[in-house]
Amino acid sequence: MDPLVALTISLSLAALLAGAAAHKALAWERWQGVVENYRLLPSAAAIFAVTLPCAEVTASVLLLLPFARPLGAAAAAALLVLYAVAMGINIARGRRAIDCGCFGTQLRNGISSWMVGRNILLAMLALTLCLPPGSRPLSVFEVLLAVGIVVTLGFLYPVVGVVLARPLPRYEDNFRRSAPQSGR
Amino acid sequence: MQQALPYLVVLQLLVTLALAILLFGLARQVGILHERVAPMGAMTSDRGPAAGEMAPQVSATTLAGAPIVVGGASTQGRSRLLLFVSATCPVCKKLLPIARSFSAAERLDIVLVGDGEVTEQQAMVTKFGLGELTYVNSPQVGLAFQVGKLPYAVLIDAEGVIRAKGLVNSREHLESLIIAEETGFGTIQSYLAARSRREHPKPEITPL
Repeated sequence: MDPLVALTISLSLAALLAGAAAHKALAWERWQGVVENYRLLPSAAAIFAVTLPCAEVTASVLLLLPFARPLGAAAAAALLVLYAVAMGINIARGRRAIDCGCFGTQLRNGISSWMVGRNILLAMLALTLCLPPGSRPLSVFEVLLAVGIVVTLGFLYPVVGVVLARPLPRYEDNFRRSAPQSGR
Repeated sequence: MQQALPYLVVLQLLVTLALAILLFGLARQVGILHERVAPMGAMTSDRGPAAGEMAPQVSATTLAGAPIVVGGASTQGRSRLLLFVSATCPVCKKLLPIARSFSAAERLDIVLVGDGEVTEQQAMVTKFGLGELTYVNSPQVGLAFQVGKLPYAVLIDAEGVIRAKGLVNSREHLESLIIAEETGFGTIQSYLAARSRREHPKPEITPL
C-alpha cells in the first residue's frame, strides 16, 4: 500500500480514537451510566468504563508511531469490533434508545444498525494498515496533504450521524398510544 | 500540466475542506434547531393516578428510619414533589443536584423515592449530598403511582391532590410541573384540547 494512503488512514483513526476518548473524559459521570446501560457483563461495567478510554488513547498513540502502527491498527480494529458487537447485541434486544456513547452525548440519538456497519468498515480500514507498507519516502508536501485530508474528514464524520439520524417524532406521534415513549 | 498538478491538488483539497466546514456548520445548525424545538414539558404517560385525582396514600420508612406517609394531606400545608430516582439511571445523576437546588428555590418539600438495595441508595445519598432531603426506599410507592420510567416526578398539593406528573430530564421539565400547578393545566394535551374546542382555556383544577 502506498505510504501516503497508510499515513492518511492511521492519522484519521488516531484522531477518531483520541477524540472519542476526550469526549468520554469530558463527560465522565455520564459515561459511567452509558457503560452500565449497555447491560453487558454488569459486574465488569466499572472496569470497562476505565479501560476502554485508556485502550483508545493507547491505540491512538501506537497508530502515530511508525514502528508500532500495525499493533495500533489491530488494537483499533479490536475496539471498533467490540463496540459493534456491543451495539449489535443491544439492537437485537430491541434497546435502540440507549445512549451510544460514541461522541457528543447531547444528541442522544440512540444506536442503530448503520453504526454497526460503520464500525465494521472502519475496522477493516484499520486492518489494511497491517499490510506491509510501501517504502517510498514521503515529502513534506505529501504529509501536509494527508493532514489536510484528515481535517476535512474530521468535519465530515459528525455530519454522517446527523444525516443518518432517525427523524424526530412528529407532533401527532405524541398522541398515538404506540408512540415510542423513550425520553428522547 | 505536470507542474500544475500539486497546485491543483492543494486547490481541490482547500475547496473540499471549505465544503466540509460549511456542511459541518449546517449540521450543527440542524442540531441546535432540534434542541430549541425539543418539548420543554415533562412527558406524561397515561398510566397511574391522573392529575386532579387524589394521590394514593402509602406508608413507608425513610432511609434514616423515620416513618412517613407518602400522599394524603400535608401536615405542614406545603406542596410535595415526589421524585422517583435510581442509583443506576444516568439522567438521575444529572437531575439530583438540580433537585437539591430546586427544593431550596421553590417552596416545596422534595421526597426522593428509590427502589433497590439500601447500600446502593445510601451511597448515592452521600455522593450527591442529599442528606437534608427526605429519601424513601420503597417499591410500593412506585407501584402505587405506576411509575414506568425514571426519573419521574409527581407534584402533590397540600390537600393531597396530584397537580402534575411526568418524566423529567431537565430543570425545565421540573419547572414545567410547577407551571402546571400554577396554571391549572396538568398536561400540554389538556391545554391544547381546551384550546382546540375553541373555548377560552379554562383550568381543569382551580389554581392555588
